[in-house]
Amino acid sequence: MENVPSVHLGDFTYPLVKFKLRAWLVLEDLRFDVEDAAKNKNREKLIASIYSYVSTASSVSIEDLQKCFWKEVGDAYFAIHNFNAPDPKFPLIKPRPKSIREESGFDYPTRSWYMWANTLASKYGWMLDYIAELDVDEAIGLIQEIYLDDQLNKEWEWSLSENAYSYNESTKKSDFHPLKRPEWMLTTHKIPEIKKVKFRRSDLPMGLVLRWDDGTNSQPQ
Amino acid sequence: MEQIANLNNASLLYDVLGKHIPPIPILPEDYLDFIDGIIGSIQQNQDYDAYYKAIQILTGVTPEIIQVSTPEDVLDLFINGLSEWRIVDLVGFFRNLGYENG
Repeated sequence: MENVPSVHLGDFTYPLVKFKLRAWLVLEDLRFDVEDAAKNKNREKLIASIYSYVSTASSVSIEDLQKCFWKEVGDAYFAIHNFNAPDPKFPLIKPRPKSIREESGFDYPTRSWYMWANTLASKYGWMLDYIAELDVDEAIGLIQEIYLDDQLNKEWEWSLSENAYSYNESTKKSDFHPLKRPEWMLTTHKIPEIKKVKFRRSDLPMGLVLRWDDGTNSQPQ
Repeated sequence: MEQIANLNNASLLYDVLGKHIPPIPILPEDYLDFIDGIIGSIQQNQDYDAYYKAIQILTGVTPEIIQVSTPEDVLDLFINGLSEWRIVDLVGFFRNLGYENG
């Protein structure tokens, strides 16, 4: 029998579920609430958000979760989150050090779903029910391609506009100013692997000499 | 009187002990040192308010019962409580969430 990953809450064990797009976006909004509350040291909101997250994912009522040992709920929170984490290969969702979640006037707590559904429905003409049941990784991949197409179209239009060029007095030529790309599209530089270099033991700088139990200064093999 | 070691009470305990929590130990045998570190910090800062509040959260005993108990019994309650509530895991959990106290 296949070993299904599960979480233990009270007297029951719940198998972990890989959520589809809409349910996953609901959980992501709750996870953002958890992170926001932790960052702002809002204890009551933090606990309420964790309970909501685990309750939504497991269908165990908050009242029942309040009777559970804290570690069961805490472990369940991280287990559910890790089990449903999307494939990190997509640049669109890679965390960036300077990324800030900006709040616009038209933003509201559950907007993520409507934003994603609108993007996918506009492009492919799919029904909302169908979009809601999409695999999360598949949806992210498609959304990234939609954003990429959109950006490349904008760049093409921008290159045809006179606003993209400025006259350079010194060179007597026009300079092209490319349209700025979103952060996730910027080139990533891979850190080159550090090569192992061998050199003589006698060339090593003299430092603290550790002696082992047998009196030698080299680790027993 | 038994207190529920749920997430809400765990967060209260984490807040109350706040500045007395030492760095998380790496080895399991350091757990007692960890609890010892908390007690040492409470004694050093004479923060007995945090001590009694923590005992109340851990055990649910009233201040009246604490007052008539011997210091050794109260200390036992505190140490056993922290151990039963898995204090090291508890601190690790909240720090993993990015929730800092104290």
